[in-house]
Amino acid sequence: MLTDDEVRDLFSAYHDRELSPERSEAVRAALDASPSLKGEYSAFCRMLDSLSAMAAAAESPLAGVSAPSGVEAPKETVPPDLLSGVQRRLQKRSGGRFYGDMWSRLAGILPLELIATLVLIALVLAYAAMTMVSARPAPAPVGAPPAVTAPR
Amino acid sequence: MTLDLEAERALVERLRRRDEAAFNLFVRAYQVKVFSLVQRMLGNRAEAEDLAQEVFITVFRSIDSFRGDARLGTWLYRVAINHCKNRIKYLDRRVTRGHDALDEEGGRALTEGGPVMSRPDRPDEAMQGAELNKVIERALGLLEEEHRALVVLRDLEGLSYEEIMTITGLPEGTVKSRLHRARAALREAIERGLGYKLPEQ
Repeated sequence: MLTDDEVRDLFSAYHDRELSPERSEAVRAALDASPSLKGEYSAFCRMLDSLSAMAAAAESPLAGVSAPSGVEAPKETVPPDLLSGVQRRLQKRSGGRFYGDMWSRLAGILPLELIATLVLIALVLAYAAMTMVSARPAPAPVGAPPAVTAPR
Repeated sequence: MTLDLEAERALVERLRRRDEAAFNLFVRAYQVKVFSLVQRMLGNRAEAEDLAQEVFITVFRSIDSFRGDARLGTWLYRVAINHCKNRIKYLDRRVTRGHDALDEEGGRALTEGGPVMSRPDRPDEAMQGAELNKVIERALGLLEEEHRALVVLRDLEGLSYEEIMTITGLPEGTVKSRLHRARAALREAIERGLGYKLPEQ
């Protein structure tokens, strides 16, 4: 039979199912035999549940969205400039060897889809501009005499 | 975002070549995990923002020392935890007194059993979400760094004992016994902060 202190020392392992079947059974029996010990174990589990709830809230898809009153917004929302900050430091500390050009930094910050769309729009605009230029009538050569209508 | 093993190997190869596009991808894939871990360890957002960047810079520089006998994410946690421990020691040395009046006041209230916030008439009212989270966060900050790391890795990040052993370099028995002591210390700190025993139900 385990003493109360021995059972308390096994709360963590029992909660995490890390005990052998025999040891686990001994803890269960001790908890069943002592309501106060069982109460302590419930409080212990409640604390761990609260930790899990905190972790789950931080990983929620709503993380970062303003929370309704009474509900704490998770603090672990990643700062939007984390990547750009890393790039700046690397550029500075490498003397410009890494992330020395704007494109390499921009490529990490903007989503690839957005970059692809911007490039596509730029190509379409360039094509349209070229088409308009080629469709315009050619200007008269410089220095050519003006057309004269013969008198009748 | 979790990469499968093949994708991870390919990413590591590109990181070893100091491929900037691959590094961008890497940061975006792991920034939530790293920032969350660092924020929980330090309990200070500004410090966490700075340190999370340093973690990634360390990876960029020392990816060659990644041998591949653990997952990249586990190795990254190890880098992050080591950075956190060093930063906590540095801050402890630098700060000691008066660095953050509000935090210190809260910490003193917890260690001396004083009120952290207005004490509720009914204990179960204080057990509601946000209020309890604040008490837990303060209590976490009072744990020794080794204990805090184990609670954060196991109970907040949800890592397995095996992963924690890899990250901390501790044997299994030590991880289990320290985690138990850490949880017990956390419970005591929470109860001191609340001013009463945690309710059973």
